[in-house]
Amino acid sequence: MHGYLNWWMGGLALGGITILFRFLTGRTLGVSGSWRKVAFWRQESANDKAMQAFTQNQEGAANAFLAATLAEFGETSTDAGIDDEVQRAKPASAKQVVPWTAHLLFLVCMALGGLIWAVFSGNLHLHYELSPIHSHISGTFGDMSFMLLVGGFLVGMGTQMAGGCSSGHGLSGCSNFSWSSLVATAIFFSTAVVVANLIKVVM
Amino acid sequence: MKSSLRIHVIYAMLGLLMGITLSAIGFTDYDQLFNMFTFADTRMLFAFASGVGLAAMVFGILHVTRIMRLEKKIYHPGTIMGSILFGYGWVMCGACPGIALIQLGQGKLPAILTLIGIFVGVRTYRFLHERYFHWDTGTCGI
Repeated sequence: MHGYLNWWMGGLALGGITILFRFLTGRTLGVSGSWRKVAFWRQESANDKAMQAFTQNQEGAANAFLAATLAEFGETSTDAGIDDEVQRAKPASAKQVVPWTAHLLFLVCMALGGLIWAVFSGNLHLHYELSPIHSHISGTFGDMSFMLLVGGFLVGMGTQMAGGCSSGHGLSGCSNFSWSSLVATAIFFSTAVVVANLIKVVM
Repeated sequence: MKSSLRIHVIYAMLGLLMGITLSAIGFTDYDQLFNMFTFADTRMLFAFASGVGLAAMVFGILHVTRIMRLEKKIYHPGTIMGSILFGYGWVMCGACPGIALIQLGQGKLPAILTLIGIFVGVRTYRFLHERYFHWDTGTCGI
């Protein structure tokens, strides 16, 4: 009736994205981390630059070290050991800096993904309310606006405080068997369940 | 510079994928969300749980075979308090940080208000954090 994916297809997609994100970026999926980087773009871009200079210096240092070894001991000394050592050291030391613009692009493309879905599922039109149930709960337009602003504020603040959101703690944290993520997910989910059920009783 | 382009392309692609998938499952639909929280409809609950289960299985196997390390998140006093605020806010505005953007992309105009709220919330937290809390938070492993 609603035209959404069934549960196992949704599960495959969510799990797949979590795994794909880890493989492609070497980092764990987390939207609230991207939010933080974008909301503080000025500080973050300064951090990025400092980190980049640092990693480049490290590479430079490794190269200088190699050159010095060559000068001291000649070509033969580098045939096996040192080359290997340098190669192995590289990926670990040079964990690439993700610039804040990539996080911005990530967020913008999420919105774009929503647009693409709306076009292909035939849902593309402007909505002035979130959903029938949300309008029923909030009532007037003014009350709805207030609920969204305050709710958004709590979401922004809460996810930064907890160090993750439904993707960072819920999807990737739990699947990495992270203790704090299991606690966080259990708490934000049960809070939502309690609040939603209270609303349902009152309405 | 070339690797910087690669990162941008990867993040853009993953963003698109996230936007389409979360829309297709229904996380952007407040009715679906509300019904999940009241257990009137367990479809999305199972989708979320099986997604975590699948990823946990893969990460677990990679960990045991020593191909990849598990990434642990830091626990600190804000984990519990923040999660309570987040859970409460989620029911009020029907969005976690990514969802609000996707809702806007779908043409749901009220999501603009949610986005303003989230932006202010993120900035306010940093202010409070630097002023009063000083917790070690490793937000979303970035």
